[in-house]
Amino acid sequence: MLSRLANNLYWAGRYVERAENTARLMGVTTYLLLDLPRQTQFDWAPLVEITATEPLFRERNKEVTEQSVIEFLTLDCDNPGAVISSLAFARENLRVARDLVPREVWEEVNGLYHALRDLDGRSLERRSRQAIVERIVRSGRLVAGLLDSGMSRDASYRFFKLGESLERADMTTRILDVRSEDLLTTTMDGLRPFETIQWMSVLKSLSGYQMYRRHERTRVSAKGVLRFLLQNEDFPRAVLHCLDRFDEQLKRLPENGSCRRGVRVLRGKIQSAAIADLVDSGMSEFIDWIQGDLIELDQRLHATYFGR
Amino acid sequence: MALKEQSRIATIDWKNYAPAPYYDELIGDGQKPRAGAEALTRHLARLGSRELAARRLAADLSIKSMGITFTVYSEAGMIDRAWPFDIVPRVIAESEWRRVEAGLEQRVTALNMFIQDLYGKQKVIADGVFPRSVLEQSVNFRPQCIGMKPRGGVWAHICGSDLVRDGSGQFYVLEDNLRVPSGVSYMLENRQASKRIFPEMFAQATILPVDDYPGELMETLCALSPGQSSTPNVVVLTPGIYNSAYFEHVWLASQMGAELVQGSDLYVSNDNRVFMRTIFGPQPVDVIYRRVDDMFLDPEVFNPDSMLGVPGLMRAWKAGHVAIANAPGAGVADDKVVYAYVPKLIRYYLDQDAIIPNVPTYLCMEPTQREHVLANLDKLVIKPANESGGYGMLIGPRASQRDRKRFARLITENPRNYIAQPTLNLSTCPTLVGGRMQPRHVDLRPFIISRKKPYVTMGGLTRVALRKGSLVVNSSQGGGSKDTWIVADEGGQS
Repeated sequence: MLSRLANNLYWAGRYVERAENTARLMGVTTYLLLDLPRQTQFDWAPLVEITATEPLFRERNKEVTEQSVIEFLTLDCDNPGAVISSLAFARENLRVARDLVPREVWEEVNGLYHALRDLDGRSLERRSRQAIVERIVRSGRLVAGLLDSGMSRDASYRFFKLGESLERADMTTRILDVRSEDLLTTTMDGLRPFETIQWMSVLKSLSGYQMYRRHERTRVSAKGVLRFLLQNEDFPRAVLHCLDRFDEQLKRLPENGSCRRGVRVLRGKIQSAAIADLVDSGMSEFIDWIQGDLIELDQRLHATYFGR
Repeated sequence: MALKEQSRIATIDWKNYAPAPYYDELIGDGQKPRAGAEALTRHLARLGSRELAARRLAADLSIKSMGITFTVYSEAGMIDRAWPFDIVPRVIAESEWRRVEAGLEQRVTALNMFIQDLYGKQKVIADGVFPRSVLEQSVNFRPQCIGMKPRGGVWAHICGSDLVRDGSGQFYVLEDNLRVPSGVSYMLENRQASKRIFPEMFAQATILPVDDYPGELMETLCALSPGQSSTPNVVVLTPGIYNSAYFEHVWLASQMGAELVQGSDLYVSNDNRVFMRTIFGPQPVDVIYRRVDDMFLDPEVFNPDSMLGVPGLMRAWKAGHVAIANAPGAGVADDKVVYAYVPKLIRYYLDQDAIIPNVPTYLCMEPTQREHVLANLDKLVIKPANESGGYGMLIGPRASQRDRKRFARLITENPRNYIAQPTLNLSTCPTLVGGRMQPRHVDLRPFIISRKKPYVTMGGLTRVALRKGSLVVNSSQGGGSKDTWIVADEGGQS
């Protein structure tokens, strides 16, 4: 397999996953809002922070409002973190690798991209937003299903999946990072009763609420949620699980030594972390640490497979 | 299109089909079908136009879903357009085709000998058959290739020659495309489409198959490999997704089971060997079927700004470590001035008369011929010597006074770069337009693979000018295509 195409498929996997996760985040935040007391000043800025695009947002928007943030994260073609940009990048990467993946995958990504291009800001107002969010998430699931049931487990498949699992791990840590900073440090007076629903929203944004209930069997708490989303081996969006999936693909690729070593080290760090202590202090640093390692994994992939 | 109109005309009566004054591919004198077309015309009449319209709709849908596209450039950027396909096939009787086939083999054999001669001893010039001045001003002659001898003396491994018929039905060669001719994928996809549309016909008549092309091409390319391996590494080199023939590059690579690469996927080592970058590390490359023009092949030797090529590729080729098809420099014979000499070249190299004649061609570089051209601009077609795709032409009878004046100036300034030909009464073929059969002008592009025993596609790509009266068949300018059936002669062996 050509290094260039392996690179294209890896990024296609990352961008498709990123588009879906960004949409999930918006959907859940919108729902969370409905549960908070009316007088609460809800801060939309963390959503922009999660996608690491604050400077651009401030350049383009005077105020952080619900509508400005949602439009920026969905339809703003100049925002590389917007859903539409993720889809545009996914599409460009898939276009050249079109004959390597089932045709429906291309059609789905292409179709969703064009559907979003035809939208304007008004369609993102609260009452119609959810339908769009669901459409984006469903496309992501559809692509995953098409690959699962329609694609040979060849190198093309593996690189797409490498991208998908790394991106998923990364998005989970981003969501935890921003949300935990919020929720752990500012136990806003009077909002105590709402802490639980905020952690529930974190779970829901990752489709993890139901699974959490079954695995953890405790009330939704900071410690429980963090442990679940970082250390659970069975939940598909937990970081540890994503790493195992990542490693599963690597195992079948040539010259995987350096990349697999990287995975092993990171896995060890996450598994041995004392979450209860980290909840009290050091969570943010810990997550930065994981993210640094994820970036390094990406670099090892590039050095091993794409830059040859 | 008005569906109402379609449903009103339910029958096809060939008596109402009037191609005159042109030669029609299916219907001859007295409205009788031509040899080989009897079964088809009967079948079409029986189906009626309502059924044909339904089948056409099905064809359009399947072409869209098969993703057969070509790319056009416009101010709004690139557009992937569905390939316009007309369901009514063009039919040629096998006995007639065999003669065309022999003519094409003869032609490319002479052309390859000519190219080898130009890069070798240049006897054709010494013997006074081909003027040195024409070679000196050739934009496609590559001095870097002098002294090269590709295997078997073949330079143009793949050639696409455009054939047309005049009012009498005589086939002529209009031009030879020896650089990176395209269209063969559409020829094969058209056959797939027409098998779906007229399955009955394939049971009734012996329509000779076309699908062996990718296999023949792969075999030819493998045979060029300088390496020892029995399974050489063959790649298709594409300029990338923005090329108008990218669909075909993808298609050919997948049909041949060859890797589709871009320039950046390849590199040349210090010992002049070509490798491609893969996830398994560098893999040696033995044969390159390139769909990139000469000038972009190797920035070390040709256009230094080319991002499409591979630095050092010419070194590797000259060292004999990699085969390139078509060979760099083969385009020297893809020049409309050279074209005019082909009948002489066939006589010179093969001592034969050309089986398929040329369209009479005036060379503007010859003073007397130039005078004739300038005096008859309103009757002639003027073509630049080195353009393809139908660009930069003047169709005299339809041009404005201003355009004719402009061309008169262009010709006077650079006579070597222009040729002129009489406007031909291109043949027509019944085409389904607005629910009825209407004559539309067609040409034919067969593809010839050169090797010890050349291979000619069974028929070729028939291109059709979909606009009434139009003679321009290029897909970039509103042309479509048809399937081409070579039908075994009745009573003959199949």
